[in-house]
Amino acid sequence: MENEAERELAERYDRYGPMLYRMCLVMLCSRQDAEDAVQETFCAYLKHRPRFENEEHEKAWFLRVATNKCHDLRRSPFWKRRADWTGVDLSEETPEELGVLEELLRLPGKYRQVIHLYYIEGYKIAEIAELLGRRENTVKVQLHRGRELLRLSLEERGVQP
Amino acid sequence: MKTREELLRGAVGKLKPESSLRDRVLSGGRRSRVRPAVRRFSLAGAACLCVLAVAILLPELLRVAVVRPQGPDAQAAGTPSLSIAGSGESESMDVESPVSSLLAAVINGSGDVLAVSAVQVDRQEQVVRSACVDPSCVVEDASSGTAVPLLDLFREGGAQGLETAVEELLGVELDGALVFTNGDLASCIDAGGGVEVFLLPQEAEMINSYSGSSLQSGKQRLTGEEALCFLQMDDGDMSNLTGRGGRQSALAESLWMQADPDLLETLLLESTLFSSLPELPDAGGIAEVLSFSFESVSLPENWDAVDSVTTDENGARLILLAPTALREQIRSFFRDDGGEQAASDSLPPYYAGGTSTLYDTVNQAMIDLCGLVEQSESETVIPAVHLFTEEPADQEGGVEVVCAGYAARFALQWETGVCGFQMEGGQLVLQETQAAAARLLLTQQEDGAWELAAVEETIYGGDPAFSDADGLLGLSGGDEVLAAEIAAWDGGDGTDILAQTLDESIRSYWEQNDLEPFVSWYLGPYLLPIPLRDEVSFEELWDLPEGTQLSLSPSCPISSALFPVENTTELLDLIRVGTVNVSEGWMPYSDSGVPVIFLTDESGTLLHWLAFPGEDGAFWLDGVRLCQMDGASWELFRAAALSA
Repeated sequence: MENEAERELAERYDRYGPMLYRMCLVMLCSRQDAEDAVQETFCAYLKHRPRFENEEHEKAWFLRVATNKCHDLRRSPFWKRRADWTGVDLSEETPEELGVLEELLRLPGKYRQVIHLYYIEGYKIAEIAELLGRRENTVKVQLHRGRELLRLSLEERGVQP
Repeated sequence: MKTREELLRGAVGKLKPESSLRDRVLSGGRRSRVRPAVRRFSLAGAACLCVLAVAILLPELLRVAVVRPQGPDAQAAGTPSLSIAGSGESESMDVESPVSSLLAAVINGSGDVLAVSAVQVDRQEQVVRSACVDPSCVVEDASSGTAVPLLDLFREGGAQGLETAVEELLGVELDGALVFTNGDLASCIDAGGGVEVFLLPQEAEMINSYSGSSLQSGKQRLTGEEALCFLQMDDGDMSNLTGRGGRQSALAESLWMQADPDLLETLLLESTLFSSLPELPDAGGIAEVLSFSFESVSLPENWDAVDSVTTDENGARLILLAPTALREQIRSFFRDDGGEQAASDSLPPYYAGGTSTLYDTVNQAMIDLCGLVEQSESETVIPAVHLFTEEPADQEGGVEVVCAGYAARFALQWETGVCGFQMEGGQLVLQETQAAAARLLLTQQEDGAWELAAVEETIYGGDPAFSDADGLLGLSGGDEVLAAEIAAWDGGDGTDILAQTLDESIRSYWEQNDLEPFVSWYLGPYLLPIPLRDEVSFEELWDLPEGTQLSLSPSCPISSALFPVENTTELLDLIRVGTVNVSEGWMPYSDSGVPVIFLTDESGTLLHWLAFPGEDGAFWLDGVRLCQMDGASWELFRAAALSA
């Protein structure tokens, strides 16, 4: 039984762990904080063992809980607001990709999150709205503004479309 | 050549966690990093099981029905366990709102209130907020007109009386009340194997003297009886961390952190406390709510909400309150979240009533012409109309106006992190606009009010606002200059007539409806949020209450939230003795060219970050402290920073 639970957890980590880590890293800009948030997310999963209707529901649950954990961390006065890339492996990124990443992380948090979910995770606007508990219009506006900010900063850097 | 999107996907897609993270997760371990051990956050900060139970039950309760107690007979003196069931008729509330609130209280056998909390469950934001109120707080009893402490109210007015008093005191609407006895609470805690909290030395001493235990200070697991002592003891400490309210809050958080869904389900099913509910949630439902974030605060949160502290004839402490400040605190707490939450916030319909009745009528006509309507109570439609001409139309006092403008639908949202720095506050966020230009005929009534008599011509705008040259010429009666003026009305850069008119309309609406306490900004068609409050000079910073929203630079309205001051001298000391390294850099919360300077210790760990507007003096802030420097200190510091 214990082995079964371990296997389930391992499966879920392999399925969602890297994705959650990416999102948390983008939201928190710190490897250590991102790892903490991912770990807390799986702790919540272990603790509550929620029942999921389907795989999409499961994925949405993990994303939502990870988002909450990131918010919890950011609310804490002990959260050091910083970009701490110590220990993050950036060896595979090209210089251009690093530039894009740096500009993405300069965006305000809510734009980063929406852009990440839309472009990286491939969620639709309606799904992001449901996931984050925001109105669709709000997500659209945030996506638009985030995109504009990113476009402007990338143009400044000379990164063309 | 790769597109920006491909670069973005490539960059983020290659971020991979360390392999050790997988091991940590699979081993089920908690966070390895130790965070500073301040009670409210690290410990358990923790309040009462009833808060937990209410939080779990609340969604179920409201989905099915809330049975309100009717009248003071809803509770009988000496009833050992009081439920919310009343003997009178029941009122069904099929509430689908994502935000619901309830009162939770713990009483002793004499009917004294030991703990009381307003609990808000926000299913949309997936957060449970518990505001524990010190039962020593004094409220005015509406029926007798006398001032009584909360701790007496259950005995005198029953659950209904307590609920009404808390509603009045905090200025919130509660959907019902649940009251537990201290015995039930203790049993529940014991059944869960006790509860872990952090004891201060004097707390351990007091619990030991009451219950005969031999507890040491520090992290301890308390039995139900000990937890009651912890909850009840009144050492006169008014701190919301180490005082009575802080203990309630700490216990609630602790119980939340330790809650087990299966155990809770068993407890709820076997308990008679909730027998009035037609359905109880199963472990799945409980687990769902337990996956929400939990936030707890004890009120009064600071001394702004306290007029004075006194004692009654028996020597018991009484806290006389400043209700306005207290309501501000609860309002801030219940709305405080990073996401958009609306539901319980409502905005009044547009009414500016500032300029003239004619202008008001034109404004209303523009809203009607544009056809925008509020989608919820947290929205409002605000017009921004410019009158280009206003001429007598006939012999009977009619007036013809040529106007252009638009109606803009705004939603009230609670925002953080906008425009660089951490910002928290209510914000009007633009959702939708419709532009129109029109020639209107208005007539004046006997009472002086203006009425829209006819819409003679209308053209609707797009982007750019009005490109229909023939339509504009017709609207302006062949006046080419006027047509050109209307066409240039929307320059789109935030400096045009539209921007000024919209700004005036919003400010007028904001002032007329007294929205200052909970709306700080608006986000119109332009990128940056516009602060509604005036700029604050550096000299005034010290006198501002914590949490005040500030704009640091007139040319670029950057927002910031000021955080609680824990030790205002520490950073200045660090700077003075020069034990920190200084480096400049960027961070995700800075943009618009404001320099950010990091202070690190010798090992490179970041201690603080600072942001400067850079001109007339210096202002710095970081995650936990606020301070300011004089110009000379700033010059010295700046030189050190630049040479580092």
